[in-house]
Amino acid sequence: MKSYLFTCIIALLTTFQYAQAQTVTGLDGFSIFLDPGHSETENMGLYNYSEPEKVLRVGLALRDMLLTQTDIDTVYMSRTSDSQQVPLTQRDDLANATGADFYHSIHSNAGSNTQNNTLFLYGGWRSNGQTVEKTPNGGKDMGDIMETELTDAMRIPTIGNWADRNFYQGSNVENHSNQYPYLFVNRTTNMASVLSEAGFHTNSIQQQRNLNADWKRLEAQSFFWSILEYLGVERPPVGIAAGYITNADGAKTLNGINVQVGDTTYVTDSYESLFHKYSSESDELSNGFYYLDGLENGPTQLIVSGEGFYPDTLDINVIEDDFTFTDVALVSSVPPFVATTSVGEDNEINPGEDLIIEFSRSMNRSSVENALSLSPGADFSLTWTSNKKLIISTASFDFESSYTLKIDSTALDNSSYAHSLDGNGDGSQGDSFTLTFATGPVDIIPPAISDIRPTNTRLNELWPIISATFDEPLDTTLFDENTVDLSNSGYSVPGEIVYYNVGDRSVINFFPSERLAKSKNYTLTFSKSISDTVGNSLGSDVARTFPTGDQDIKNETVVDDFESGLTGTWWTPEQSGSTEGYDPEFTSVEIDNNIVNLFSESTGAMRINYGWDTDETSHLIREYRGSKTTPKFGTDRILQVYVFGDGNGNKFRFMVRDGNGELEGSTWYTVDWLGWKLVTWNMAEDETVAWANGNGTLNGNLYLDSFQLTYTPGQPATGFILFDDLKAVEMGLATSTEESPVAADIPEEIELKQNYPNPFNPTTNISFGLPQKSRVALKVFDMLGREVATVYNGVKTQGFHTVSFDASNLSSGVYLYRIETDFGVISKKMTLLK
Amino acid sequence: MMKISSTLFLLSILSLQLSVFTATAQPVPQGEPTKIIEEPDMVFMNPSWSPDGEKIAITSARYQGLWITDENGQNLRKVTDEEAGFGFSWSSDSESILTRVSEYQNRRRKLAVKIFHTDGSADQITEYRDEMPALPTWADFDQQVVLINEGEVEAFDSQKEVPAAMKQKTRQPFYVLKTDQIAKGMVPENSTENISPFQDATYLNLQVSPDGRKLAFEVYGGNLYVMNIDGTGLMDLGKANRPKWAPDSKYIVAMVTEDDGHNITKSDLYALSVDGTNRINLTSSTDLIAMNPDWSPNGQQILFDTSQDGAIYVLNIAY
Repeated sequence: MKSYLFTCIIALLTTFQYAQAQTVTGLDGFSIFLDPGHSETENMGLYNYSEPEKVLRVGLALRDMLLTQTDIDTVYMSRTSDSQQVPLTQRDDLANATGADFYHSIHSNAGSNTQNNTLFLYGGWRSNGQTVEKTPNGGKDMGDIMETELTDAMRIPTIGNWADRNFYQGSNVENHSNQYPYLFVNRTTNMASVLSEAGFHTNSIQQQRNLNADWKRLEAQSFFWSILEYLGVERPPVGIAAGYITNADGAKTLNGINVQVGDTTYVTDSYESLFHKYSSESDELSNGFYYLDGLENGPTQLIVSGEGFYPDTLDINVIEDDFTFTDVALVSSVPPFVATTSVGEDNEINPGEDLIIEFSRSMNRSSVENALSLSPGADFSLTWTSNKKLIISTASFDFESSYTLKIDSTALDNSSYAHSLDGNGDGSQGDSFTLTFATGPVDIIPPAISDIRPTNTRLNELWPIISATFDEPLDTTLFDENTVDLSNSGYSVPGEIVYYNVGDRSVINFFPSERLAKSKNYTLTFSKSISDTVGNSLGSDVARTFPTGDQDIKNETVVDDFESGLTGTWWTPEQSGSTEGYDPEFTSVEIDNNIVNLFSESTGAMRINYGWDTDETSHLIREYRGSKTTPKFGTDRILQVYVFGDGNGNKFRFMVRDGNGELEGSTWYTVDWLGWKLVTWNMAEDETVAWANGNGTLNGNLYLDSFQLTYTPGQPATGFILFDDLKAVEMGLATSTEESPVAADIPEEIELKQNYPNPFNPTTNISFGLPQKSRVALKVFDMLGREVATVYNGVKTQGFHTVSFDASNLSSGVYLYRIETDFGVISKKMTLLK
Repeated sequence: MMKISSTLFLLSILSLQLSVFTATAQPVPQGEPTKIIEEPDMVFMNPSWSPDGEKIAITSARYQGLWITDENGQNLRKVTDEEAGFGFSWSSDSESILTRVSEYQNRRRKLAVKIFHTDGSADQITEYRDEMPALPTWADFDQQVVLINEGEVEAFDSQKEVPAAMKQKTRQPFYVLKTDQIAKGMVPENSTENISPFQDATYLNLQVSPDGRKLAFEVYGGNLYVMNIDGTGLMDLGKANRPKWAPDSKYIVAMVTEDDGHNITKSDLYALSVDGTNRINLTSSTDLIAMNPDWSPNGQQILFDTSQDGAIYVLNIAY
């Protein structure tokens, strides 16, 4: 067993004998340490293919190129197999012991599905306003070369070659507090070094390319050329034709396409040849990538063919000093047909709902519109969201009627072949499409209200989010200051209403703009005028009374307010090896700038989109907080976070790592609510659950490890959840001075204060007070009475407010500012002095 | 399943050892670690006590330079700016430090063996070479320096004299790492004997116990081990790195790290009994990412570094 375990390791330090004649000289006396990052299947990427698996193969291909094509002295490697588990300290100890001349750490990046770029990090930091490279120098030069070569090879954007501390801790500083490299491999290697990040293994397009064996050779080839250039050695001639084969209609990359140059052929990956290892769906994955090596240089023909497409032949010139990239878009020979419609199995559609027709390929819009007819006739409009997708409005359709939609065979596709419609979908063009459907009855049912929060039990918080859920979308144009009323002894608490549509349902959240008084009874009323989109209203007010408690936050430790984004902290779900039973297509993490906690004036919340593989038996998404071990907090704190739920009934929980390094979690919270809700884990009183190495007991100081999500069988398999303002808080008796609004803060009548500063240049502040919630228009006029600016136009709560006015566009002079409210109008003068 | 036979073998050794061992006092950390060496804009690392316990040698990030302080961290003085801080070792008289240095020419590193003396002088032992994939080792009571070159022993005169206390002793073997071996050697024969416990493994961070009877080492991609100098008595001490011996040769201090592939996210120092019975976390009460420990010759203190602030810390130890 031991000898088997270590069999692969001997290869690490072996100086390989060259298997074929070397063509490149000038690398004698040079040795390099290649470090394929991570181990085993850590940092899992999409499709269950990990970063370490990919970068190992890039490293091995690069090693082989150096050894077989050059006179390099030695190539060392930190790993040569997928089964080795090598910590960072051993990698650097081994590299330092070898005395190698250069250290190249090979990685790929992780983030959202939309990110994909190259990045290079050499050891460096800011000192006296300058960026300093670590000694020995060389990492920056190599990074500059690799940035060009790898980026050109991958044909994706780059975010550059950075001094590592500048990248992670900002470059716009005079001095970094730590005057040494940020990354371990740069900090503790005693040779020149660079770390490369070749695209994102969390980007679906990139990761489908990463699956291809020759894609890794392409990356290695660019590193090979980079090393030659770094040493001032000319690259040997090559003959490499590469590119992507796509469907001209929609640009989807194509599987199983033959690509030929002379006698050399390549077949793009297919489900049968490769993708069955990474997906159970035969049409999920494709990359369209081809890589023909060993070609003769000079003009030749690239012949591309595949089933269901017209073959194409292109003249190319295979160059000797770089890749010869040629992308080919093949035209489908399959005539267009109607792929889907929005009419369900019940064959019914409600007037007002969109009737959506989706074609199999891009269509000539006017030919479709001319070919389309409806019987019996009704008014409708047509909207194309793409050349494939047509939306037919049904607002004018009669209720409880039968209609037949016909698209004649004169509808044509957009290709140069102009195929006519295959209406019956038999594979032959030239027949019409017919869809018969019924319309439903008129909607006379008012929206149903449910899950009103707070409930009628005593509140533990004095800043509650008011919430009510509805079973259908609402008409928001009818919302006004009476839609939600929260009052105590006749005093209505000011606040802000937000409304969200989630699927077929909707939710109203009301954020009070002042703390509620302690130990009082409040009445919450949702107005009878709340209506659905076709005018059915609640009909009567829905009221609830609840008592407030006397506790408020005394101390708080902000763990993350998500105002600084996720980069460098929160991993993507698939990066954690613990994440399982999920569907990568629907799973991602991102910052949401629209759905945020209004209490903290937040501008961003962390949104996790999830999808579960319901065929699996174990389901876990671990949203890991990366290497952040701060802030620490005690076991006497309450961990709290504002959670926006999708109401799908799946679950989440908190996970912390305690002073013994053990992972301990809260119990699961079932997300059966829609909208925002404060969720708390009282770690001193609530149950603690062991996970991984945990024991169910919280010891010492804690830090947040992760949020975890899991699936509830039978519930929807896809959805989302948002987290904002994660804190560890200590509660205590609310102070009386902070209780109800101070009378002096609410004017008896409208007030407009003198602007400050005055005179001003170019900005000033204008304050005003309102006795009640009111519409407000604050406008500026010149002395001739001409309106020159609207400073604010909207609704404000009772009390005092301040708005800022920027007069950059105005010339010096005296101006009039005027506030118009429900309670009257007031004007004052101000002086702009530029 | 194939592991059973070797495990049984180890268990039998363990039981033999337990039967002859007397109880050993257990090292216990005393209080919080305190900073002992700190300089603005400097990151120090890899502290190493001199054998007489009167000096501390340190290097900085990238193993650049060597510095020496008194045993209390005071009187910091630079020995060299050269890249000399990886794999250095004190002479037994605490007057010299043996190391490998390098300089770049035309993108290539030239490496040489040097001895730096605490009086500020230095001796270059070898010429600068294109390749030197090994670290130098003291041999023959420090009179010689040996270096593995293409699998063979090269020996050099260190120009140091045998300490008086050593003159009556028998010849002293040296222990070195070869490409895939732990080797025991002798000068002037310049011969080596393979005493590796595993075939086809790569070894790191070989440390000889103060009593000269045991070796501690890491297996690359594997665990930390100790064994007798004849290759017998192998003991697996689990995941731990960069071992250093306690003066009683019964404990090792090493670091247990976690990393995310880019940086160390957690590291604690552990005292590991060489019989495998004790594994004591010495830094559980601190949030410091404690690395690169070294046990003082009197056993009372452990030095370590942390990249968090670039300072050298000392942790007091009681028994």
